[in-house]
Amino acid sequence: MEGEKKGMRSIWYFVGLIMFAIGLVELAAGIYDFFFPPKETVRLANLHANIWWGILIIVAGIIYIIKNKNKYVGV
Amino acid sequence: MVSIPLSPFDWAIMIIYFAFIAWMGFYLKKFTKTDDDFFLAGRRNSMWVCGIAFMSANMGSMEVIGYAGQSIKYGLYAAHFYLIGAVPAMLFLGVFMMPFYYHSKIKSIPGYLKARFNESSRVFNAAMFVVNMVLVSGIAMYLQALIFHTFLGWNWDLSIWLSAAFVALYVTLSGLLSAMFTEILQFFLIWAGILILPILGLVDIGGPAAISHALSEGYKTLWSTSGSPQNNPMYITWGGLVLGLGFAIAFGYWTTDFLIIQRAFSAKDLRSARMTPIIGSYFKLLLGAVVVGTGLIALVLINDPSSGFNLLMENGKVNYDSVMPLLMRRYFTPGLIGVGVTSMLAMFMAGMAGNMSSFNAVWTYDIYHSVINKKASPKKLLSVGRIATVSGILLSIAGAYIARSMPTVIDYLQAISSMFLAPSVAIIILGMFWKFITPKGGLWGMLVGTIIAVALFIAQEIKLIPVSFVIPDFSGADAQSYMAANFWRAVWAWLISTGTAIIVSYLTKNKTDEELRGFVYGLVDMNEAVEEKVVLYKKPEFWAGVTLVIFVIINIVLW
Repeated sequence: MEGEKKGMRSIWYFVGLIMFAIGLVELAAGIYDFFFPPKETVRLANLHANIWWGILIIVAGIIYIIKNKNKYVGV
Repeated sequence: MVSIPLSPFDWAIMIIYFAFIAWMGFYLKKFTKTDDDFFLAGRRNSMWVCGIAFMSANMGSMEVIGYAGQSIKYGLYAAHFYLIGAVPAMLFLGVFMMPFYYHSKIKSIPGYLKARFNESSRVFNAAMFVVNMVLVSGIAMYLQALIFHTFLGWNWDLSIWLSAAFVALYVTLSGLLSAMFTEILQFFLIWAGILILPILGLVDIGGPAAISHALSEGYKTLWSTSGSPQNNPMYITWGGLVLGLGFAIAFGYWTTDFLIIQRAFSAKDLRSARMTPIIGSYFKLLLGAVVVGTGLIALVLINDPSSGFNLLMENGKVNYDSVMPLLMRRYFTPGLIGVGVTSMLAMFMAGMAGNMSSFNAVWTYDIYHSVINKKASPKKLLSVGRIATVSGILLSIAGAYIARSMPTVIDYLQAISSMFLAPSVAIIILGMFWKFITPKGGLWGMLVGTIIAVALFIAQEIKLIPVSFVIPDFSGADAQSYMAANFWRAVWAWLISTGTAIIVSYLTKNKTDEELRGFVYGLVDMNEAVEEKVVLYKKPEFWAGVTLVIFVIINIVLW
């Protein structure tokens, strides 16, 4: 496998992946909420924090992925 | 108790997180030949990897959920746990102690005590560690049960036993192999879950000015009301804060807790190892701002009847530790709830996995192999270790019920620290820096200090003595000064241990310099400790200085 030849992927790459994945689900929840608002809402639900917080986490994740996609730690 | 139903999005976030952690464990296995190979990573890690893992090891549920509860009870005085109770000790570790640790032969505290003093010191310290770990793990388990109780509405017994089952599963599946990398992932997830809470809270109450407007001076300042105990909610003076929290407890935790310090040993060079706690200190300050800020926001809401916000009440008692889960319930929409709950699960798992693996190692090697069965085979030790993990979890369940009965978990945690941490740490630090302390001096110092501290606590709990008995400058409400008593008990334990060790050392025989080589400051070959010449802004001293300036500014601004 290529990865094994090059060594271990940088931990920051994995940080990017998990943030991207979690941010994406959070954003999806926010969009769903926006179009189908629940009957009972929480305080400040009108701010749609799950949308912009989700986007922020996705952006941070993408930055980590791009910056570290070619970095390997020699083993 | 009204619970919040988790949406499919929230469940998806939790599933993604646990699946990712499991997958990473398998991925990393391909590149690892031995546990040591991975854990110390051949001393290859950068200062950022070490610094974040170091901080993540500290960011258990107590540090976040517990201290938010402290802010409700003690106002801004809770910030002292992140300031005087953390920063000076972290910087001291980075600037002065790390070169010594990095080049000494010290790899664990019981092991160190055996080499520095004798076998009895090792066994005594190991026994105290085991008791401490069970009680502390009980607190973590109780806090996790609180999450289940608050979000899912499950009853307490089910929540506690389910938390125990989660830990058993996690510890069995993970192991040390991927511990450090998992901690780094958890670190980012925890921030993703908690950082947004004070932002929404501030919007809700109308900005930081609302905190200043709503709270009295004792609740919104750090030092100005510490001249007299009855003027502040902690019923403490500056002397108790500096000596008890800042010295006896903070130095004990930050400079000798190997669960945390070991992260720095995996650094690629000495400069990175020294930078590890210094990088951690910046995150500690940020964590303090988020946690205490969240607590103060909740305090403003509680003081405003129209907000509709109240803490959990049980049997007529206020549950201070419920503040963070309840605020999440107040503001978090689907998706955010998933991130919030997952971040709390991550805190809990990280803390408990570390606790249980240390419990397992100390019980198996420092007690069982050292005292009970010296001829045990490696296979036997492995099975004893497994039984120890299961027993540790079961004992922690008992600890969780004790924690639930306490006013707040941090009151209880600091009581535990004053009894089981302060006496040992006094001797460890004395032994590291002063070769004069003899093996018998070390042992008797720990023994006498611990016995007196435990006796004082028990006498206080059974009402034989008032809570204020150990507080020299007391003039406040007795029952309210629980935390002040913890700080002062730690100071007395420290002083009694130190005094006993010095007196006994005068009367007993010491080891030779040759026997102490590698274990006492000044008897460690520090030639390797000479660092490469780097520009000013890359020096650990520079960044420690920056933290110190920020620390001083915060203390002055919030005086």
